[in-house]
Amino acid sequence: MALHKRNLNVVTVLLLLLHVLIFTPSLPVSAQTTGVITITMTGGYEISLAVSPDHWEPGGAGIVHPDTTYETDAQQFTLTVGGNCPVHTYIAGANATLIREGRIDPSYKWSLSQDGGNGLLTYALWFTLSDAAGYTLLTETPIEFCSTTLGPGDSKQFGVKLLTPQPDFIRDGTGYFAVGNANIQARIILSAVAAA
Amino acid sequence: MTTESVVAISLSQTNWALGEVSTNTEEVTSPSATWCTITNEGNANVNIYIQGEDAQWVGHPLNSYKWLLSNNNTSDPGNPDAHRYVLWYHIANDNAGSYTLVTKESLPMRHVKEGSAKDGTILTLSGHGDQAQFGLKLLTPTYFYGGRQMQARIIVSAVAA
Repeated sequence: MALHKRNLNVVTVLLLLLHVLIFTPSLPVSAQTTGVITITMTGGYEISLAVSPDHWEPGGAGIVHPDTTYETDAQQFTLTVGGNCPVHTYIAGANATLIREGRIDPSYKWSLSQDGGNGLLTYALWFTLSDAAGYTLLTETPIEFCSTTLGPGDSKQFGVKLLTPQPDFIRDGTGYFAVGNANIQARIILSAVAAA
Repeated sequence: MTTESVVAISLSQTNWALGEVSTNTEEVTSPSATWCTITNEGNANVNIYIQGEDAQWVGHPLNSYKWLLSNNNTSDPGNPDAHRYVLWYHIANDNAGSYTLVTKESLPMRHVKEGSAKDGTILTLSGHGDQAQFGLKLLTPTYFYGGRQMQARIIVSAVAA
C-alpha cells in the first residue's frame, strides 16, 4: 500500500511537469535580430575662385599709348578661394585681342611677350603678390601664383603691370597703334588644382 | 504543445557604395523601391525597425570629423558649417515617391499609403519566408571637406510583434 502511494506521487509529479512543459508559452530564441547596410561615399573636391575686381583699364580712361608701362597697386586685386579643399593656385597671361561689336576681330592682336621685352605687336605682363618683393613675368604657360596652398576662405591680394607694344607707326614724332579708338582685351587666367 | 519561436531576418543588400558625391545632391538606390529585400528567416511575426547614424571619416577613427545625420528632412542649407546629411527609406508598393526619414533613433518602418487601411501601419513580416522590399535616398551635406571617404550604417531590426 505504501509502495502504491509512492508511485502515485511520482506520477502526479510527472503530470505536473508535463503540464508545465506543454502550457508554458514558448519565448523566441532571440527577441530581436538586426541587419546592417553600410553606406560608403567620398566627398568630391569642389573648387571655386573669385577675383575682385575682375577688370582693369590701364591709363585711367582706358586710353593706352605705345611702349608705355602701366601698373596697378599691389593690392588692386583680391583672389578668394572657395570650395571645400586646399588648392595650389596658378596664373597665366594670354594674347591681347581686338574686340569689335563684342566679338574678337582676328585682324589685329598683341602677342604676349616670352621674355618681358615688348616689340611690334608684342606686349608684356607681370604680376606681384602684395607681400612679394618684385614682379614675376606672365606667359601663356601657367606658373605658381602663391607658393603655399590656399584653403577655403583664404584670399591673396595682387597687382599687375603691363608694357604696351612698340608703335605700329609714327606720325609727327608720336607713335600710334594701327587701330584707333579700338578696344583691346587681354586676359589673366587664374586657376586652381586640389592640393589634397 | 508549442513550437519554438525564432526571430531572424536577412537583408539582400548590405552595402551601398556611392563613390564620389557632390554637395547638396540627392542619391537614390537603384532600383529605388525594391533595392533591398528583407526576408523573415525565423518563424515569428516581426515588426521592422530602422535606424541611421552619423557618417564617420573612414580610416580616421580618432578624428571627430563626421557628417551628422539630420533629424529634420534638411541638410541645413545656408549653414556652411553644417556637414549634415539626410537619409530616407521608401517601402515598395507604398505611394510613389513617398519617403520617410531615417533618424538615429530606432523607429518602426511605417507604410505610406494614403487612403488605404495600411497607411501608417508598421511594416510587418508575418512568418517564415515573408519578404518586404525598400529603397533608400540620401541627401549629401550642403558643405563638406573634399576628398574624405565617409561611412555610415543603417541598422534594420526585427522585433517580435
